[in-house]
Amino acid sequence: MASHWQSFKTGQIYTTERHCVARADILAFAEEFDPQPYHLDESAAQASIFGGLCASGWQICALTTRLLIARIEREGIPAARWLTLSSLHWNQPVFVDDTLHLQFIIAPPADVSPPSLIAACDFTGYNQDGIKIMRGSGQLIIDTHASTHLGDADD
Amino acid sequence: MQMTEVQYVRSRWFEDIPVGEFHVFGTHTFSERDILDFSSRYGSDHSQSADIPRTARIHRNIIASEWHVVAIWMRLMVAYMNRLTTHINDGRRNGAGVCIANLGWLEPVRPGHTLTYTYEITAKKPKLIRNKWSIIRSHNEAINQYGECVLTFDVDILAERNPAGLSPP
Repeated sequence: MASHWQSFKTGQIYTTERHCVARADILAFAEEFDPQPYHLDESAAQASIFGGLCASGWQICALTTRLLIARIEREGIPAARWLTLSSLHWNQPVFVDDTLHLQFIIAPPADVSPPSLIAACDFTGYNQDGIKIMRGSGQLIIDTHASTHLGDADD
Repeated sequence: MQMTEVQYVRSRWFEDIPVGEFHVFGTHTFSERDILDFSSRYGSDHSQSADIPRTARIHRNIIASEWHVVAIWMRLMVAYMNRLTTHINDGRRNGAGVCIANLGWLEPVRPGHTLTYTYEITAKKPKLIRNKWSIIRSHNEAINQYGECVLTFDVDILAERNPAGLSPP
């Protein structure tokens, strides 16, 4: 709803929850979607450009998107998904047991056409040592109808 | 000589990958089960207890998570690279993805939709990275069964340089 949206502070830096990336999660995603040796095998990974077993970049995209959406929902904004990403950089690999979080800012919606609207979002991801692991910029599509009727699919 | 397990996905040398080369590298049909399964494990609708993802309210139907559509791109690409380079037996290998740009999910992907994935080599950046790699840029698309482009992005990936053409460090 518009009132929820207006309470979201433009320009403020928001921080997501933290998530630890377990070895089993890295292997499960890689086996199904990104079966390259540096995501599957410790010795191959050590010999690779990464220097250790690390998560698929796409797994990190999905994981950090989940953290981002959950944080926005805490503000009462039913964000749904990415519509575009004009840029995304993987700055550092994510290794076993790294703990990630995002910081992000959101710009006012540019396109208000209920039941959805579009908002620009810039984000940076960090590991537990404060090292930047990714950064990106894109557009989120926001579901304006779902905010007060989460159980109602017939709106 | 001892046989050793392949420890990397092979590729061609950077020098041997021509700009303008176009590949149709795979197709995939998205099932409803797969869409809901990916969404529950990796999507952003985890707070929903209902079977229907929140995104269904915008699109009036179940649609694939945005990263699901891209994860299938990756799976098809790895399989394709392994097929494309079965004749390559030396040490050349693919590197890592560095960045993506102009990523857009243009149309929803629904259960039963079949996507055809393509890429075209669009640029090469000869600057040497870690004395071993240079960047190959490709333009990637996924087209559905109606001929609509549903996914588009550019990606920069490291490709190994042919050592024969490099000066000793």
